[in-house]
Amino acid sequence: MPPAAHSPVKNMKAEDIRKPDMEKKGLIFDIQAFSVHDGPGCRTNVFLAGCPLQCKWCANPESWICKKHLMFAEKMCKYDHGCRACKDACPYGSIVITESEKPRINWEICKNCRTFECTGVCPNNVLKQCVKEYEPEELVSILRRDFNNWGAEGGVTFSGGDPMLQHEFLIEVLKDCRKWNIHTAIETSAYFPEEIFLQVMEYIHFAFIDVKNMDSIAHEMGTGVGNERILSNISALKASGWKGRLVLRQPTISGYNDSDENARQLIAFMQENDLFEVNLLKFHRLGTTKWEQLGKTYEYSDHGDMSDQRMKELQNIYLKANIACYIGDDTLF
Amino acid sequence: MKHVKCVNFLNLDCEKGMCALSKAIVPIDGEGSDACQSYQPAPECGNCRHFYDGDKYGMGMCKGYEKENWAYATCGAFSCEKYESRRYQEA
Amino acid sequence: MNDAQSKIYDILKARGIDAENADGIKEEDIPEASERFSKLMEIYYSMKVTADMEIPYWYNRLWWENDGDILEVRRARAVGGAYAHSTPTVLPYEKLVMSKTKNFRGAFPFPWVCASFFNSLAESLMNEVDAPAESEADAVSVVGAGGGNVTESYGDIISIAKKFGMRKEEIPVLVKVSKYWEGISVEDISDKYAQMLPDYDQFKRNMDAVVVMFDSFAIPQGREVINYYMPLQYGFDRIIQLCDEKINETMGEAGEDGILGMSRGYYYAAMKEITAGLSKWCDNYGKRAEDLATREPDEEVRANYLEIAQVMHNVAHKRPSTFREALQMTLCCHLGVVNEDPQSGQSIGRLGQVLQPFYEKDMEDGITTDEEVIELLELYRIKITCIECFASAGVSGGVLSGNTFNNLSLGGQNYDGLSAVTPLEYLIVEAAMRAKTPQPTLSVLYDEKTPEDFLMKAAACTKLGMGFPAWMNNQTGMNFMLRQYGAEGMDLYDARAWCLGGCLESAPGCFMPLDYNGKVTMIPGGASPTCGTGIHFTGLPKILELVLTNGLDKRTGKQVFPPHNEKIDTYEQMVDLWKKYLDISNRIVNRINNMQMDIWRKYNMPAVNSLLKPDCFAKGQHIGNCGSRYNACINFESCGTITFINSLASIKKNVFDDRAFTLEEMTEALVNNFGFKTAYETNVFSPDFRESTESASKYDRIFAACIHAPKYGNADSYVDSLLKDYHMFMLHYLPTLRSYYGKPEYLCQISVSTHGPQGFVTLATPDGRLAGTTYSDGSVSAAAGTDKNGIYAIFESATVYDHSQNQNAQMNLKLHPSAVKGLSGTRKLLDVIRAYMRKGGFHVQFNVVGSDTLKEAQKEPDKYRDLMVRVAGFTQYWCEIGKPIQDEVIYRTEYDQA
Repeated sequence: MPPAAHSPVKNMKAEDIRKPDMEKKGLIFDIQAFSVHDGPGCRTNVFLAGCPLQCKWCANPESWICKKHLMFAEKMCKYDHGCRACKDACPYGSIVITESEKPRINWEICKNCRTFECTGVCPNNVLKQCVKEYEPEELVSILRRDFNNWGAEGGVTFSGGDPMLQHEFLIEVLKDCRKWNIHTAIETSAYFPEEIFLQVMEYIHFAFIDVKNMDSIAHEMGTGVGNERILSNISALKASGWKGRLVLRQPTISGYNDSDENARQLIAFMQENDLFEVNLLKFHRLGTTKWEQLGKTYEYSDHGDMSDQRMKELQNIYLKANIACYIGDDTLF
Repeated sequence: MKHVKCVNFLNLDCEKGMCALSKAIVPIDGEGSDACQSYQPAPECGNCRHFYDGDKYGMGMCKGYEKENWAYATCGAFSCEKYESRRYQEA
Repeated sequence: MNDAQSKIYDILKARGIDAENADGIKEEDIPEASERFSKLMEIYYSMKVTADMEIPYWYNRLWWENDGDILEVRRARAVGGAYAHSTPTVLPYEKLVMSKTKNFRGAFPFPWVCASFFNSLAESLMNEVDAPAESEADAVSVVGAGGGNVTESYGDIISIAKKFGMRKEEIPVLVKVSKYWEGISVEDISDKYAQMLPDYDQFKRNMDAVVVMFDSFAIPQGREVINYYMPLQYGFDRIIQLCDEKINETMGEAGEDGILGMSRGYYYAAMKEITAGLSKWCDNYGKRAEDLATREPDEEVRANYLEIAQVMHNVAHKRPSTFREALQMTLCCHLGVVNEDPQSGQSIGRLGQVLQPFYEKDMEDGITTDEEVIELLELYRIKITCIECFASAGVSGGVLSGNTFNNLSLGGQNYDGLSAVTPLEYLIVEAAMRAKTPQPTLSVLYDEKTPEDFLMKAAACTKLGMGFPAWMNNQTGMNFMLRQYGAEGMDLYDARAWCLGGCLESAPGCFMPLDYNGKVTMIPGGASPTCGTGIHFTGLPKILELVLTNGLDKRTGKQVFPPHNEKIDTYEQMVDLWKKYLDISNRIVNRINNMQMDIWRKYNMPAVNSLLKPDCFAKGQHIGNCGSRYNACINFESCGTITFINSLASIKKNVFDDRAFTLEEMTEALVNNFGFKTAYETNVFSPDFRESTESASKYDRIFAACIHAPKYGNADSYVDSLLKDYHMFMLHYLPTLRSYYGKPEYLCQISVSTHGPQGFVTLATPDGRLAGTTYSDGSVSAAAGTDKNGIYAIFESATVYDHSQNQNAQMNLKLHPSAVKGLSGTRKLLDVIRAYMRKGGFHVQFNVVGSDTLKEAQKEPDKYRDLMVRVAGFTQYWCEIGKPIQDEVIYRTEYDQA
């Protein structure tokens, strides 16, 4: 694995990561059909690239970067006989074959790549282009097609990354969703200027907003940003008379946000804002290989696990405060 | 005498059956295949008075029907209207 | 519901969200199966699949003792007499009785259909008999891998076809009976005449290269729907009377038909024989139950025996007068039919609609309860699960995966065009949920009129991971019926009576007026012969391979088709050559299969089935003489459709559009397996396993291009349009082939398990599939691992043509259990099913199981004796299916891996 210092993310300035490299065209890193845990009914989940937060436990670190980039799944490379397909394909000389007959990537070069010649030549998809461009109409036509499949309750869920980062594109798509009567859900960090946040939410029927930690300093340590803007946006949303359904989400991580105190503070905040649903997601480690494929080290590779017992205890704290608390995918939507 | 030759033996497969009295699964061959005191002979061609000339494979002749034909000793005869127990005849 | 949940409901309710009625309710727990069921299943799990000689012995004896008689009478006497002589086994825990043979999972060989298999084995079998006895320790078999299959001989048990155990003392009987049929079995006679055809060699070359893999005579009946009307309406004694009346009316009278008219009298004489045989068979079970009662110490068990005796004596003579008797009667007839030929896919049909009047009356009379009915239906499941088919190793293992596809259909429309769902059908689903067995598999005929609560119940059953119910589109099925059988007078009423024969073979039916409980109910049932013989299992990718190799089979070194000697310059030219080779194969294979089936119907005509199937009794003709109402049922069966389509797409894109390399370069890469070791060398048949050889790098570029070529199942019109083209071609081409009934043929698309063996003989394909690995399964499932855009994209791809053009289309999906958890999960599953049905998809079925579980089960089969999976159109115990198919199921894309 290349040293962490060469990772595409760490060497980039915040602006590089967060700023979309074009407007109106959407940068999407995945579209999942038959998504059943991210809103009511059967849904199509659109994962938009780019995120204003960089959570240390993130399961989709490839979603941080809001531009087309490379993913390198070294473990899937099956050759030991001198395959040079990727090396030969790269016009920038970024790929070398090591003595152990494995390709090695120079992330410094690859992070600026726009052409991705290496990705079409590998039969094992070791090198994969992450993030594809979509015109709003292109995405809407997929959604209209999928509308045939959702059933009465389903619809589209925009997640990411954080879909609001590409708010111009998102609003274009959302306007069309309204036109075609498509049910919309969003998963967002709410870490955006209030005006943009409220503008997007106007088109949303169902929202998940993550509140990772009630302590702003801890929030910043875990995610890179404080929580003030998030909390004030939630309050503003409630005050705006928004008619949708809001469920707060919290990836629950041992030693980070699983204390009684954090729960009590979140309850207080929810009661202040007349909120009554929270969804605790037990920390999982599904993202490990993705961190490796991006050439990054994963801080949460060996800690953060929650016991079922503790999840139940936390649930009880919320329930006692008359807040509907769901654990994992055991939800009522 | 073996379970498999007993009137209380209920066929299950090529290696075992069930004893109708004890409801136990009993083997056809090897250990535990010997019948108990409740043994009564099952109706099969080899026990029929119409069966004769059996060879080392148990293949013989049946004269129970209008047309004489070959038969084999271990063929079940519960459903044969011509079956007559040899033992019964001898007694 | 736990405390946390009810608290959540309260909170939401206070907020005006009615979650309890809306969503998320925990589903009801499924009650345990009955004690009788559990006891019998415990026995089942330890059962060896067993073949014995009682029925073949008596069949053979009676056949030859009646030498010289009219053939249909002789045949009925042999079948009926053999049943009447078989040993009835009654177990103390049973309520429903009867089985194929005296054994629990029994079957027997049919040397009169196919003798060569046994005659060629005669010497080696006798040597095994003569070998000195082994030590006692060897006499005990190991249960585990392979389930109940007897894959090798041990102790006094001889393995036949790697599946059946036969006791040593019966081997000389098998050898002696088989000898009678040497040179005159259906197989031998049809082959004798087939050899008169100048193209006979072409046929042989086809079969040797496994371009086509199946002879029709191997399982000449089945893939059809049985019809229980006659015995339910009349009872056996009355049928015998009716035969006498008909004999009086028709014997010696030709009517209007100078060729077949005279045979009517003989038909009724034969029906009299077969009915008497069935009746005696039932009486014998009654007698055995009485016999056991006399020696039974336990009062309760004794009473049970006496109850069985009474039911069996009633069924032997009278029309049924209770639900239990009616169910027992259908079981008797079912076993009667499946015992008269090597058979698979003899479908039960819409049993819950057929038996509803009996259930209804018992409930009205207060003589039974739902729980009692469910118990009977549970016990019925064991009976059907125990139906084994004795065919050669290649057929029962390779094609059928040991399953006999006794499909039970639910739903659809009734005679009046309304929802046909009956209260009894809810209980049939309930019994299947409680009593987990692979058979009968259930099929829902999904119609917009089907009640929502029934669909939910069926979806809840699908979720249990047994692979059923599978879901079929009722409207699509009806449209196919009208399309295929319209020329024979199929109208809308009869179209409504269709259902699944075999695993997925849509079969025509009709409604018959059952007079019971003071009213007439129109009950559905089958009305055709087998809808699953003809040109069977043609490997579409194999034919494409032969186009690329100029007709030469590289695997065997034999010239299968005449060399075309063309330099292929365009895509269209290549497809034309493919059509040409397909036609060469079809013309000769069709003629020979027609002959096989013709010899079969002359000497081995259905006896029991010719009694049951409308309109045989009305016409006075057996099934072989077109006695059935509909006869345009013979078909062409494809295998590897999507592998073929993806291969076309890859060639079109890489060779003809992009000109990335030439067709010759592509062919060379295929012949060299893209530079990888073949599955034969590695014994891994999973499509994602690759082990390179020295020459691998030579083909890197071509292999990558093949892998990256457009793939079916991603809503990509580049490749989907090729599927549509293929279907439009087949729609017009196949009816130019005529069956032995003189009717046009059509496309059947069920691979069963043949995508394993047919993939096995096929080189690497242009879609990047490696040599020897399985073809894609089903007909519209994506090739394993190539569906990158999710389930909705597959639906889009699958429905680019009208599914009612063909007998069927097959879609297998694998879902992770977490995706469909709880009641909301059931709704979501139903949403998916409904979405596909609305698009006109004909069939969809699900494996709701994680790949991890399957991998574990492959490693430790002993621990997973009861694990079931859905394969092609049927459910089977995991441990009883072959490894290539296991690998394929594991590799299939799993949706929603949470």
